[in-house]
Amino acid sequence: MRGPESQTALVVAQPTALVRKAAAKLAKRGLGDLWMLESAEEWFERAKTAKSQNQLIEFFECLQRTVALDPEHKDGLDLLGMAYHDGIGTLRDQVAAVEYFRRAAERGHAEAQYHLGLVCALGHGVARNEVEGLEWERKAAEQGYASAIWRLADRYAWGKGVPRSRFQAEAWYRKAAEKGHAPSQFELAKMYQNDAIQEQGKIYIDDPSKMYQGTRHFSVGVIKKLAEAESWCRKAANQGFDEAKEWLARYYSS
Amino acid sequence: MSLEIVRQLTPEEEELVAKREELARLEAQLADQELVLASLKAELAAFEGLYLRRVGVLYAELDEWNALLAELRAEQTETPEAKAEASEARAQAEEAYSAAHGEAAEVQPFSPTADLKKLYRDAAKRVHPDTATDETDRARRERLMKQVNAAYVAGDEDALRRILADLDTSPDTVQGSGVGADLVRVLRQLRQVRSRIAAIELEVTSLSEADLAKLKAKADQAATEGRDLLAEMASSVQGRVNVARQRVEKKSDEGTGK
Repeated sequence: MRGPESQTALVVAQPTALVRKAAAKLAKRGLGDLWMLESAEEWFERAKTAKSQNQLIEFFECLQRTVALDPEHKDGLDLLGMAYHDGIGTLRDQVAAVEYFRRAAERGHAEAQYHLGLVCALGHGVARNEVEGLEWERKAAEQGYASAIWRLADRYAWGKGVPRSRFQAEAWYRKAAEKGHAPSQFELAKMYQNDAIQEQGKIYIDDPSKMYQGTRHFSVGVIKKLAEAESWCRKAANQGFDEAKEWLARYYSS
Repeated sequence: MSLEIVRQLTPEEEELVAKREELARLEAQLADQELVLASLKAELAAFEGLYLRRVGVLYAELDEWNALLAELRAEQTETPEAKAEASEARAQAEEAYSAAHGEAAEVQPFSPTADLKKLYRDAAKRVHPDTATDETDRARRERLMKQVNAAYVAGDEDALRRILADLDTSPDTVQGSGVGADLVRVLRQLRQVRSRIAAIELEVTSLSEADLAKLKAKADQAATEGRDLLAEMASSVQGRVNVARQRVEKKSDEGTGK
């Protein structure tokens, strides 16, 4: 018999009953884990609310629940590290702090990398290790974390743990400054002002008579540097950075 | 149909006409419902495939590391509990692997065109087993309906067209003799169609309440917020995989170190 059956032999691989059952189990498992992740997020939100209301013990307990439900919760791990490090809502425990910072840092959390870098460099709760500290700090800086960039820039400026490099220091300060990091903005302002003074100093050495002619003989380069210094200083001052405010009043009051 | 040229219908004939109209209406509704059900099944199968490929494989890997760890422990301690744990972990790893790398994981995304949907509705209406008049007819229709469903899931418009074309050339079931016999048949068909519609509703409900559908609903919701839920789940499980792998490496170092 020539029926439609013979013509439409559709071969669709059908999963066996066992595979179906196993797949259904995986779906159930995923749903359960998802529920845990969502609950973890809820506890984390509660922790943040508690912190803002200064309920520190609740803050700490909510954080503990967060990382218990989601051991991969990077923000939660980092904050828990902070809580242990500073003794917020719990007793101070620097060893535990390092452990949580490390867990978050290893999972790529920039702030935790910065924190781990700091505790390694300071030897809080862990054997002091400048090299490891620098490594973590650099990782955080490379991810664009402003405080880490600032510390790295400082290292280059003063030759702490790295070879002193004016070029590197300026580049890293600028990176943090562009992210709106006030201390870096101020450092940059100081740097450019120093440059201007040095450049102008050279001119005075060549022709000391210019020292008494006011600002009329400032070179284009010097004027540019001063303008840049002032602009960064203003940015820092606008963010409420006190030192920058003082500078602004002293040097650029006009 | 103009009434002037039609002779006065007997009450049985009037009833038959009315029931036939009702049957036609219900058959159209049934075809719609079958389309809903087939689409839901296909969407869920496609989502399951995606889920297994993106998240399921990671669960399988996690279970594999956990099984390895349990086996290492069993080797080192040689207690019956550790051995039992190891074989249990191994069974779970194999089960997860079979799901994550089986046929269910191969199902590709399902996006039916309007044409395909229309073809499916037409074919479902024509071949639906619950409009069968006798057992032979029913068996034939059930076979055809399976093909129609398979063609729909596979997105095979040509197959649906072939099924429809073949139906046109094969004679439809011969109408019975006499109004009374016809009426009985139509009533029976009505009952079958109604019960199938109710059964479909039940099946749709139970499918929508399954874990997979809940997971899909969450993923769809997340997508409207611009989030990729499966990616979030995958990264979470990946983190656990990394931890489990490190544990296994540490344990096996301990083993060789001794």
